[in-house]
Amino acid sequence: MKSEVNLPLNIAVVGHTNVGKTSLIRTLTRRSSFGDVSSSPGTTRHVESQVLMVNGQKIVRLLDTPGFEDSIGLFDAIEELDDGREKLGTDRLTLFLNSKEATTSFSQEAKVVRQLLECDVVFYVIDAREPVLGKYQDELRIISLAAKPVFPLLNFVVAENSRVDQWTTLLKELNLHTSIQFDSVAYDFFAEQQLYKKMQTMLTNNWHQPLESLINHRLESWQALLIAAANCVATLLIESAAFRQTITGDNALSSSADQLQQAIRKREHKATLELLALFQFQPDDYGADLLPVSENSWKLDLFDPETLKLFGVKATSTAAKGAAIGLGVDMAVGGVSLGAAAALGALFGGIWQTGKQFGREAIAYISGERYLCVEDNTLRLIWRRNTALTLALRHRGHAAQTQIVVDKFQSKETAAEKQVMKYISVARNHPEWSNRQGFIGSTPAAKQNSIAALAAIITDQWQ
Amino acid sequence: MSINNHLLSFIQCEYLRLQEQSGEARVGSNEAEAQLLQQQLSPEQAIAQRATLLLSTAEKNKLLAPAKHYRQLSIALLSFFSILGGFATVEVFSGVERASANFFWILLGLLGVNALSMFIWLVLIVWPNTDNQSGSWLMSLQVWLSRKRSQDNNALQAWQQAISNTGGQQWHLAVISHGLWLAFLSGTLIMAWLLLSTRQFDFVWETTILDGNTFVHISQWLTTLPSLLGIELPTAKHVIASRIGESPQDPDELRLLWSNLLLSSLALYGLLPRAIALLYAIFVRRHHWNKAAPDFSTPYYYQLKMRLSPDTIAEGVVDNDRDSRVPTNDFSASNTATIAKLEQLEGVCLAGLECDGKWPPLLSELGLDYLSPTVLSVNAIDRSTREQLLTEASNHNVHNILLLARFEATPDRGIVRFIRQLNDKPASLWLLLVEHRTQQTSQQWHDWLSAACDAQLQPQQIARLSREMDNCEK
Repeated sequence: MKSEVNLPLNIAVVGHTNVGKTSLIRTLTRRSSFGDVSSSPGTTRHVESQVLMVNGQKIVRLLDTPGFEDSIGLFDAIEELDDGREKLGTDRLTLFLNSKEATTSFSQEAKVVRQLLECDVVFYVIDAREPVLGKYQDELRIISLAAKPVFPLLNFVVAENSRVDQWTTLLKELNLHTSIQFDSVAYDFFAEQQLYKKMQTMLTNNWHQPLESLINHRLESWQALLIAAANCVATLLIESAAFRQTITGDNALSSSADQLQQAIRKREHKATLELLALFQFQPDDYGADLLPVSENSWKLDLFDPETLKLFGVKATSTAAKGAAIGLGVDMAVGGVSLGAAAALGALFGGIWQTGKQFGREAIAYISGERYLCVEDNTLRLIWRRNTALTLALRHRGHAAQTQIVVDKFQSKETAAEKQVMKYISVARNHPEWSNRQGFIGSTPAAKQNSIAALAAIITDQWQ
Repeated sequence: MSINNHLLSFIQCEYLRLQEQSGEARVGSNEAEAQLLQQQLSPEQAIAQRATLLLSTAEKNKLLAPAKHYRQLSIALLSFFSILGGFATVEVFSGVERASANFFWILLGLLGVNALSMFIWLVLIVWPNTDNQSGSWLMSLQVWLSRKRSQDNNALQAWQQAISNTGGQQWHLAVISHGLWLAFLSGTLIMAWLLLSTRQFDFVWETTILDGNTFVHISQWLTTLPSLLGIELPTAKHVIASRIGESPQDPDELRLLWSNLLLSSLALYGLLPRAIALLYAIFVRRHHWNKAAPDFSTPYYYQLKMRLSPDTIAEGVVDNDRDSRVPTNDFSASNTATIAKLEQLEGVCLAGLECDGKWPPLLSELGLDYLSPTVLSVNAIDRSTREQLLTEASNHNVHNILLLARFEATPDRGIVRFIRQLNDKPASLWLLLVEHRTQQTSQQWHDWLSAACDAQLQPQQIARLSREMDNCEK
């Protein structure tokens, strides 16, 4: 990348104490481990930096600073140092840094002032829930002394008591016309893109290209993340659908059902952890109680009829008699199994596969083998709630301290769900796709193709 | 199989993936990743390097085993097919009666099936099978055979997965089939040469319904390529003379010419196209294998990429905090006692600290209607109102200042300083925090108590009032 500017672009993230500066950096960098976040004032005591990279090159450095706590006092202290001679704002700030106050009463603020002088750009973070007070105006006046481009960032804009309009009016009065709404808790990828785009328009042309590369890179990374998440859900669906539990004896139905339910719960839990990890959320960061999952499963059990109802899936009579909810007994007889095998043949155009499938089913039929598999409705539920979880994770900032709440979910069958169910019926006829321990022998290419195709449908639906 | 280093490196990655995904954590993984982060490698290189660092020599050798087994199997199969080719030739020639061999029938017997399979292969190349299933049976066979000799499922699966991931499976199959056909045809050629060297065959041709010229044309067409090599071949005259029932003048010359045509046809129309196809398939397979790369659309490789080639890096502390924070004193206030005390106050100045909304608030809404503020109240929201309040507080008529503040506000150092200034005035200060829906009440209360302590208030001077305060809303 050829650029006449000194990379990275140093951005000082400043603002009043407890407005979410560290949270903002956590969300912009998707690192929930960055800095310390709490509701108490003065949590950040030092200046810490995090760098945004594009292909190994540092593009933007975000400098987290301690919050202003006594800006009225600070402003007065700077004013008092004025000896009446005409001075530039930066000189006044330098004078302050050399004063005794900078090491005593205003040592925290001095760190902020130092960064104001050294940075290229200032992000002034505002808690949009706060009333517009005089102390914030003083902060903006102090910042203006540094003569750096200032981007006011309105945080917590999604909160019901946010006062975006009041803040925007004040900022305009102070000649800050480009304010950006970016909620570090309720994350919006496009708001992040907007942030960098606005910087592009406000900064000198030299910064255009590095910021453009950052914007594109962030977009690519976001899409790659969604694809990986879709792949995770697709693999979960395919493997759950392919799962078969052979019923070994006449009385073994309930124990087989238990085994299958346990296996599917475990598989879904694995996917949940994988999704969390993909979006860079650690279950440990939030404590055991803050996820919709506990121990080995979601708090709402997959095989609980109430869960089905909650996600708008009607429990039907297809559940086998005697078997638990969500499970079907497939006798490997003509009808369903062979029909699906033929459909598979048509879908894949492979006579070989179809023949193999017929053979396998025929052997099972002759030997009177019966097996349990996961019912369509349960798979529908897995699909709906994992889509809902992904949606929640996509809009969760890395500063969020509260439990992940999965409350927005579809309760009606969509066109995408219909397609998903098609792939599920294909997978049902491939017990070898369930990835049970120790299985080896057939090519995974067909499974991979199926997962890739299903992941593409899922990605489309999510976008 | 000639092991392509690139593919082998990818196989190592796949092996590690299978192990890690089955829950087997790797010792030294964090250290290896930290080391790789320093090297600024591409994600693909870093992932390959990680596998190299984390796999033991024994594991790497184990991963070479399937290739070794494959080589042994290949040698056995190639030998078998060349012998089979030889037997097939003997079989074809065994049908020759009275040493009069039908040239075209023998040629069809030796090359017919080969030509048909070559044609089918070419058709499949032009119209490929989109389901990518080709070779699945072969892979299964290979895995099954290898399994007989190796116990490590993951090593085999890693191979299987890696090869199928590259998309070169079809070409791998092509290499195998062309190789086997080449072995078969080599056996055929050698055996044909041996038979022709040691036995005497009179090559003839015959037809019942076709025009005699047809075979003259076919044989002349067959001679096109071999003639370029300067081999002596039958001319049209020789062909006509070889028709069954004819009595050629020089049978020895005819035998030699027809033998030349048979052997050169086997070499040029059988072996040569197979060898070319084999080389092409090897070339395309190598091309695919060279492209072997982790699939970043899968969660495992995506996460690995994010760890080894991160979008963000932490640079750590730039400007350290040299002053350790002074721990706050143990300070606890009693709500009820303080609020009860308020009822007895006289000469109250009602003041606000950064209160929001309408000012002054309706005391009845706060449940404080027993108070009768005697002095003009002030809400300190900026520098000038703070100063105004400090002035009011110095007024001799003011005996008590009831300072209302929002419970959910952050008690910053500026607030503490102001409360301290107010507390220094002769009037008594009472800080009443009006609570209006806040989530972290215990932490917030603790912060306010710390702030009150820093402002040198006594525990009885602070209380919280849990009331809905509608007029404080925006």
